[in-house]
Amino acid sequence: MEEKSKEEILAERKQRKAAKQLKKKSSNKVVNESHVKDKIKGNLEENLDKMKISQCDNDALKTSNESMSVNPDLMTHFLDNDKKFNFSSNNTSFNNETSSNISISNKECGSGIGNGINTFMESVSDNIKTKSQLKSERRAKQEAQRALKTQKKLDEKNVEQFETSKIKVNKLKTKFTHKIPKTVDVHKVLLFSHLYRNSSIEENNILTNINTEIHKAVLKLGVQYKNKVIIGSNARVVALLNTLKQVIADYRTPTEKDFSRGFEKVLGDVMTYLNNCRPVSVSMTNAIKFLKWHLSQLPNNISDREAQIKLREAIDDYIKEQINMAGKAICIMVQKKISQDDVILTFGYSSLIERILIESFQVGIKFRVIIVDAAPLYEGKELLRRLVKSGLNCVYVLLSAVSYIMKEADKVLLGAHALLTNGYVMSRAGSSQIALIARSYNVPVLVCCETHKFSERVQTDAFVHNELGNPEELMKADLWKSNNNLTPLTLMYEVTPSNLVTAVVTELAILPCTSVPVVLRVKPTSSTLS
Amino acid sequence: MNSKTVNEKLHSKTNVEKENIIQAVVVADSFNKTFAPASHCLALLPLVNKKLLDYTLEWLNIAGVNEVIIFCSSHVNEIKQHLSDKVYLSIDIKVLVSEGCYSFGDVMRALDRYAVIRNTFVLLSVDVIGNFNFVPIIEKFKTIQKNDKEISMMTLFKEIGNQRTDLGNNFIVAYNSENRIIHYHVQNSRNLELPLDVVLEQDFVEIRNDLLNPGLAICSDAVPPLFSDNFDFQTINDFIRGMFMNEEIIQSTVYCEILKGNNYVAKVTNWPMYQIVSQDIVRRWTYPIVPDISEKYSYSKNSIYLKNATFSQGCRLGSDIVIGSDTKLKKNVYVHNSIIGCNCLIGNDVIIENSFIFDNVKIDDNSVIRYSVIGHKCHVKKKCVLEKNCILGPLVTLNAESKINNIALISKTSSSSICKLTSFSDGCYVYENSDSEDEEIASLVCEQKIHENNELSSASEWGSSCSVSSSPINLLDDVNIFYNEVIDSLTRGYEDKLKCENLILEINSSRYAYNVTVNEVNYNILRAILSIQMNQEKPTMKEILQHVDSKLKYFTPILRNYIKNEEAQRDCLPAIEDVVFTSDKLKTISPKIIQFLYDKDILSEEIILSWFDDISKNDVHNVKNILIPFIKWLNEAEEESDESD
Amino acid sequence: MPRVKIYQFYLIKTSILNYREVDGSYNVAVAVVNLFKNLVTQEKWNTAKDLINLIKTCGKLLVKELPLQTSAENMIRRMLKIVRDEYTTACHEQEELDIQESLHKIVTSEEEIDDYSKTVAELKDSILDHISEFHMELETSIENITKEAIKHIHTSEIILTIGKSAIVEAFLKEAAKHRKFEVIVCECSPLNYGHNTAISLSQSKIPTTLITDSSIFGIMGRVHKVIIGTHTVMANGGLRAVCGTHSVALAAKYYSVPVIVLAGLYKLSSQYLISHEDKFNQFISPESVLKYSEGILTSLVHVYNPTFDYVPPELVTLFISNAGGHAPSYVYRLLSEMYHQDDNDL
Repeated sequence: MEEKSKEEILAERKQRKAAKQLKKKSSNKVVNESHVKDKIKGNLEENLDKMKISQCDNDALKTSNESMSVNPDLMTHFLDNDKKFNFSSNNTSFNNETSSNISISNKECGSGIGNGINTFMESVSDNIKTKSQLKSERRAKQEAQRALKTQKKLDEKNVEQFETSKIKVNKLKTKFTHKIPKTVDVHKVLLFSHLYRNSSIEENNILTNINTEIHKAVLKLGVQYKNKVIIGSNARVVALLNTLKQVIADYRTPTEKDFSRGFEKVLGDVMTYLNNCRPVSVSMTNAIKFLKWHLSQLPNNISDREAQIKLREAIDDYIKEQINMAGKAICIMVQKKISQDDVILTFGYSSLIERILIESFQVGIKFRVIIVDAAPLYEGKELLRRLVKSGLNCVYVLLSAVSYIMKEADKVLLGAHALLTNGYVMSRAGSSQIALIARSYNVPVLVCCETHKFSERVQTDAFVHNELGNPEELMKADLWKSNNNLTPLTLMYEVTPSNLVTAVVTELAILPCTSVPVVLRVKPTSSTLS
Repeated sequence: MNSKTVNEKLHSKTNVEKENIIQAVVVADSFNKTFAPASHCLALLPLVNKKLLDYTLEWLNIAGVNEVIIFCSSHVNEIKQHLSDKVYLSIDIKVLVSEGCYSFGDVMRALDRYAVIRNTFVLLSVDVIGNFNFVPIIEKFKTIQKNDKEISMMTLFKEIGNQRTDLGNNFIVAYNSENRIIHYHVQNSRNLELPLDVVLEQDFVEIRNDLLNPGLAICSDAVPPLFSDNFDFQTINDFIRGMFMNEEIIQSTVYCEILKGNNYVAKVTNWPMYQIVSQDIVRRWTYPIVPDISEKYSYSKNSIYLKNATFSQGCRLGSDIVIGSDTKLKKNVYVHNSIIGCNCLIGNDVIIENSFIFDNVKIDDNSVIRYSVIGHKCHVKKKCVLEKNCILGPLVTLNAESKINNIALISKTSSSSICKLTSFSDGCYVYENSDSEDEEIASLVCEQKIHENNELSSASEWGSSCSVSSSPINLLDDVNIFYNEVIDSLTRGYEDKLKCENLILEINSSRYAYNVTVNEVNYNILRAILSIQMNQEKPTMKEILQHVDSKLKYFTPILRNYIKNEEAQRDCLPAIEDVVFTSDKLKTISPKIIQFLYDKDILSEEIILSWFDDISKNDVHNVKNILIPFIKWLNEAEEESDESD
Repeated sequence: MPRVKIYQFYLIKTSILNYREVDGSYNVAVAVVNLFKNLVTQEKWNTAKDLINLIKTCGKLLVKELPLQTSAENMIRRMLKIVRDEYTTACHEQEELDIQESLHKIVTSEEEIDDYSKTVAELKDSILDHISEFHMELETSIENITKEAIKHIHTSEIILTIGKSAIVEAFLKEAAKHRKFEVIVCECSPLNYGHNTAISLSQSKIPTTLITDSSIFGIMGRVHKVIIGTHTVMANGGLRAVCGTHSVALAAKYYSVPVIVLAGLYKLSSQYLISHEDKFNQFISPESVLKYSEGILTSLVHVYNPTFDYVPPELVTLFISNAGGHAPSYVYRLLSEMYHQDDNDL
């Protein structure tokens, strides 16, 4: 980035501008896009400022306490709160740190967020433009824009390509407007037809929600989820909780409502919006359940501020206990299982696995790591980068070579997206193959999973509940878009049968997979939650 | 491909028409002594147990080349002898000799005299290692030739990314949409000078610095005469630069081709590159030119290549190891990341790490060798310790229990050269490079740069900025970049006495490029002006004063341009705090600086006074006392002016 | 050894290196057969013994140059077998014409061991005829295998395949002429040969889904048959197939999906798996796994990019060759029919 010369940057800008104009032309719109964009951008900046403000909220609170005249009883109460508050603020910063460790992205963060803002802004401008338009036209245009966007991504620098893309966009547009009814089911695998998200409806939902009072931090988070800037179930839940803290801080109860009732509605809206951006993870669902339970425990006549404090505390405790402490406990447990000169095989990227490996290494155990990676996200590369930086000795292979490399491994450590009640492990697609090959080579498979990812759902295959990846990442669009017989398909998750997993490491104990329902029962929080 | 095409292929290769054959010119000399004393002849320097010349020929053999012309200017007999027992089946090898060549340019001129070039040819030096086929690239060259008759050369660059600073990729190349090079520039600083007119002529310009220049080019038959015409061309780079600088006169163009993916190419220019290329070969980036395919080594996990080696009890092998045929390792030898030649004898309990051991070397018991090169037929006796950058020339015998470090040794028998000899032990002398004054010859890289490397730290950086409540780290970064750019433009402007209006334009463009707010611009401009460094190392007080004064005078137009109102004044005052008050020397002259700004009507009295009140409240930098006289003067001046009203 | 011959071997070598084909075994086989045809016609030899020695010396050289192209080695054995057969038939022409050796004959034929040194009339012609016949057999092998297609693929089945194999493509296309079914192709990263297969199949109007390697297990539960090609069939009935095949076979086993392997008889090798490194696997440039331009990572991390997987015979349900279908346990018998036991060591 640094070495990019001015000229280059300027040239890029020019091209981007050209692309924008092009888009405008293709849609024949008069709405001043840049105006909208500026507005949104301003909002987001304001948003960032607000974040800062919410961090300094403590101090503000203190001063307001000073200026208030209250009876001594209440005063001590407030003082108590202050103490707690200080404590929790420390905690917050700590959490921010951890969340930063957890969250990963394919792109550099800056550009990632930038992209996010861009797409977000685009969707907004779409909304304004298309409100009075026919649905079909909108769809055609969105397709065209998408084509343009991919084109842009492919080679931002190449001016000439824009000329060609212009032609392409026009072509695409005409094509799509002509055969809209046909395009509905082409390029969708029948088995997974329930998982395809109708892009226009989805976009619509996001758009309509902008009009309702969804907190800006949440909007930003949604875009981050959508663009896979924040991935991994731990990172996602920490990001969600931190964002909710801001939402809580900025929430004012409407006059005629209770805090808990009113906020529950806000929470519901937030979750629908986020679910539209990307299906929520089990960890997020559990965290929300937990929050809702706390909401319901609040007394009816509680003041906004007290409620906010209580909820913030609850969230901080959740992050601390369920994620950080649980991770720590798992680290300690797994460390005992890693012996000197072991070869650990792992797949993809899991924040927990990263923590385990780095902490075990720092304790002084000498071992080697084999990182197996696979499409669609190639997250393993990020793990590789981080482990190498910490000084671990790593081997990197793709999933297809795992049969070759498995002989060397002594243990397989896998992360998980969720543990289902029937004992199946839901995790990144490819994990089952690792487990399967590990079994055929008699290598034990340990799945590391905090109990906050345990789910009450039951699932036996990867079809019922899954997410589909972007087919264009698998194969270039021009190779299959025009070919009705060819459909690329990427699954994001899959379930690994419990008989392929040797044991699950949780913060409570090392258990067989089938003990999940027992844990769900015993676990105090979850039992009270349900 | 069916059987027919296979047959056709068999035939087509045997009867290539004379006009269409692809020639390759291999320059078998580097004209420097980088690898002395380990090997005096570059072509015969072993790299992973094979001579460099063999790599080149093996590559050309599978690269679609039909005729290879090897150009030697020294060690001719050795090279000819080496070639005599080699069989390469799809290439004809010719050896041309021209003594008295002292540079690459001389070789090209000699080539012109020999008149052996018939058509487009591949030009490379013997230290270039690669694995790809030239045919598609030459076809590309020929299609360009149809449109542009003046094409003389197509240089090949390998894409290596921005992170590999260790590969010596310190150049910038700019090319247009047809891949024609319009600028080539060896990068010394962060500044890029690009003639504007060159860029404006093009609709599309790509500027890159993530490339490696292996000194490899496809040339038309016009190139050798061009070298003859221009006696100052010494290297390919001279040629490239000469082409686009004197385009009108010479009337020929240079294109480039970026190699991606499986196409590997690198140039063994010095010891660090030797280490890198060795590792790349061992790690199979050069596939199919890897020891197990071309030399029938056996390959096993952790990149270990063995061939008839004998091991005794307790031998341990780390990773990235090549051990040549008939080498014997005695008990408890430990080898890691090293290349060991053929017919070596390694004694008991020897430790070899990160080293290169050539053929027929004998190492006695309990020796330790790290980061060293041990030449042909050396004998390291018992309990020697060689640490960090020891280079033993051929036939050196190292006495028992010697401990050496960062030294090059040669034996008497090999010391025919002019260099002065300092005796080290019997029959063993310290080698000093006779022409080392010209440039420092890079030595072996002795530590793995894991922690200080850019890429990984940047990874962690963005990791942290990924945090959910991300404070505007990116913005800050932009401001910093902006600040650096301002400093750059101002320094250059000050040194080259550019017009301030131009500098303002430059600053404005950087400002928009990094999206910096007005307040930050105001602050950073003054900060930058004040912090431009002086040239002298220990300037006297007076010099500092003069320097600051002249700077401020020079840049007054810029300051006037930006600092127009009271708010801007407030923005820029912290810059004085941050720069002037933090430096002891500048602190003392701070009243002068402020007075200057006041005199030039850049800062107004009220602003200065209110600011002074602010900073004197908690006087962090102890400037109150220094400033008080000035403030007093200012107050008086104000009163005076009041009175005069 | 005449220089000309070495020249030709190297040409084969370089042409293979240039193409870097994984599935070029058919081409290699054809090239080797042509080479030996030339050898038989152009070289001077008097007795079958001379010829056998000649083929063996050439063969050793060739095998040394192409350690991984097992079909070359197979063809050399096959050539030797042809010479031996022709010699035997010529010697015993009057007694019996039956070439095929029965079990009884193998047991009782000890006294027949001959050193092949008799001069036999018209041996050269008959050998050349036999080689041409064999050449024909090679050329029709794909056709013969695809004939079986409709016996194995039924309407509305879902077939999974991996990577790129000319014979699998032909097989599926043949079946598509008669039946309607769907195909799922695994992309087989890092080289992504699956993409070519998917495009080629879809162009023949077969509904094709291209999936990532990571989705194999997830999707296997809905697959009816796995049909794959292979590079080599090992002596025990195991496979040396493109990387990722082992995962596919294991997943198929887990869901009890039959695995059908299409392989011409020229892929039948007398090798066993000893270790991956020992003349079994091929490790190509790591570039496609981790880019060189990724920076310093590449110098700190070991990256492996093997080409082949070993699939044990118990994961294979059926082989289909140009001689029909066989169970993996039958491979040893085919081997003894095709190659002469004296030629196991070249």
